[in-house]
Amino acid sequence: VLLTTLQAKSLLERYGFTVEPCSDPIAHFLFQLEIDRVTQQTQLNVTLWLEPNPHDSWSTSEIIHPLLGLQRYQLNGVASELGFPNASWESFTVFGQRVYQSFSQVHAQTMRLSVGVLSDTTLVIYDASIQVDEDVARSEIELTTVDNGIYYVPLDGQVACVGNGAGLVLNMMDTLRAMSDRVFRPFCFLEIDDHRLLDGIEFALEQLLNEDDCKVIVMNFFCTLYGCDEVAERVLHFAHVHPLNKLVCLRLEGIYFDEAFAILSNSKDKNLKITRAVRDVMLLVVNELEKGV
Amino acid sequence: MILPNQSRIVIQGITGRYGEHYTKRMIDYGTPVVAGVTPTRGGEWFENRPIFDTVRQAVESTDANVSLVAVPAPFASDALLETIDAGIKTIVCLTEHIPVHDMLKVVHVAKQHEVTLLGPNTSGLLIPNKILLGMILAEAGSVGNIGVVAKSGTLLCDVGLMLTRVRLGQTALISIGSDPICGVSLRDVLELFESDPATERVVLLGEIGGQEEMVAADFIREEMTKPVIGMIAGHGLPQNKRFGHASAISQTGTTAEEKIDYLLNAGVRIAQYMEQIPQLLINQD
Repeated sequence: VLLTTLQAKSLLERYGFTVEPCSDPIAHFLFQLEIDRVTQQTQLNVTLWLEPNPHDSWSTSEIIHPLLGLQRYQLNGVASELGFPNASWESFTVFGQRVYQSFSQVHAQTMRLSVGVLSDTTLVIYDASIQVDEDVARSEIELTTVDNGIYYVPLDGQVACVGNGAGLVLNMMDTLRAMSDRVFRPFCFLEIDDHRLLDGIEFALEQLLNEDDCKVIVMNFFCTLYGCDEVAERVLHFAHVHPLNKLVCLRLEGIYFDEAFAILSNSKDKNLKITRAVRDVMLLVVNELEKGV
Repeated sequence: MILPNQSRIVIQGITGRYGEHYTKRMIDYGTPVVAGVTPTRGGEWFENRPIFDTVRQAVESTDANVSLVAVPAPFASDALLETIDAGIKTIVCLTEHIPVHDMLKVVHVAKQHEVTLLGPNTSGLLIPNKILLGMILAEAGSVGNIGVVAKSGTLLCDVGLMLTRVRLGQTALISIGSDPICGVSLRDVLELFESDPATERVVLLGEIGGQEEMVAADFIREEMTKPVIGMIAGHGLPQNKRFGHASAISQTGTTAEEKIDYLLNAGVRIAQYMEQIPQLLINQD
């Protein structure tokens, strides 16, 4: 989750920093903390610009120990590398350690602070960009990207792609792309957490049936926790209460598939189809959409 | 593969809803589950296996040498550190939503103690007819010579089952997990498959986000002698959006198209979507 400037500002204020305009700095530096996923380490990068010629810049970096955190000697090393005046080292190291503390406490993935240095060595943060670990953001900062076990990304096509695993949904979207020669595209990416599958299915159907731009709904569930039969029953129950106003294609795989097939075979709803292969379900979808074209 | 020869498995979180569900399935499969751990439930039994309050007690009483961690996210990093402290060298962590900073610490400690950590947010692994560890559907695997590795657990199950139905058996199905910071990497698993005499070819299932597939591709190009079929899920997606998994973020440098180019250059044959994989394998025969 990339926080907006206002969110970043308010987050930093919780840790005693202020973000404010900076006039007449003698220098600027970019203080950047970032988790590198390949090396699985946190890195500090500092880039310094001197006024009045901000085109010249100097950079240095430090690897931060995951258990020990950013140490004072490392910040002294940065100050030394970049040629900070001795009088400014103390304020820089205190600043750096406080920033790192807030970085780890908010579970940020990246934190970029633009800092002005005044002639009396005061440091002023004048811009901030923070990317927060979404798992933490959801509970602590109340940013709502995931609700009720549903992860939703709106897209601009015609086919709602729903599944109980991100990889499954991505593969459906790729199959649609290949089967329709890129003519038809996903209306959305919608992943339902396996642990909340049955309620999530009803919630997703309710929302998607009301979306005019969504022409077909494809649901792809690989059932290991709940059986295919439970999914089929829930979809059938939903369709009984809320008539399906567009084609809903169900691709099921996993435990109790035969039972699910038997349950759905008894349905007389022409807008409800079941298949076992993703390719087959996408062929159904493409045929349906081509009728509309 | 990944596991010690004589695995004795302890399940952390055995009395939780999912812990119970998956433990029963693992026992049914014949997986050597010897104990469970749930703090405050020591002295109880589940499916004829003793439950302990701590991992150390479970290790001392049952000689457990592998742990499957299925505890909720807020307690998971503590559970992982407890397992490492108890001397267990192989851990499979199913838990999703563990904060990244916590995992940085756990992965560091695991490396220091030479612990193999599969996950977090993994579906586990299946060695057909031998061991099922995690949430993988037992029917997805059948004995054969193909090693399958994936980030996504459901995609791994789906591909495994599809291969099994067309009699393309596997040596192992391994999900490394879909979180930004994981223990075992795609490259690590490829290295295992390369050195495993029973594995003759490999299927690699990647997705958008992160650099794992690039690192794996470098290994394939430089060191792998066995043929690899690859698939990267998530073509043509808009940039800077997260698609489900914490690590599946479409960003420049990590798109499906870029990864596919990289894998192609490493000699990997690419399936555009899942159902092309069996045909690519059959064409190889």
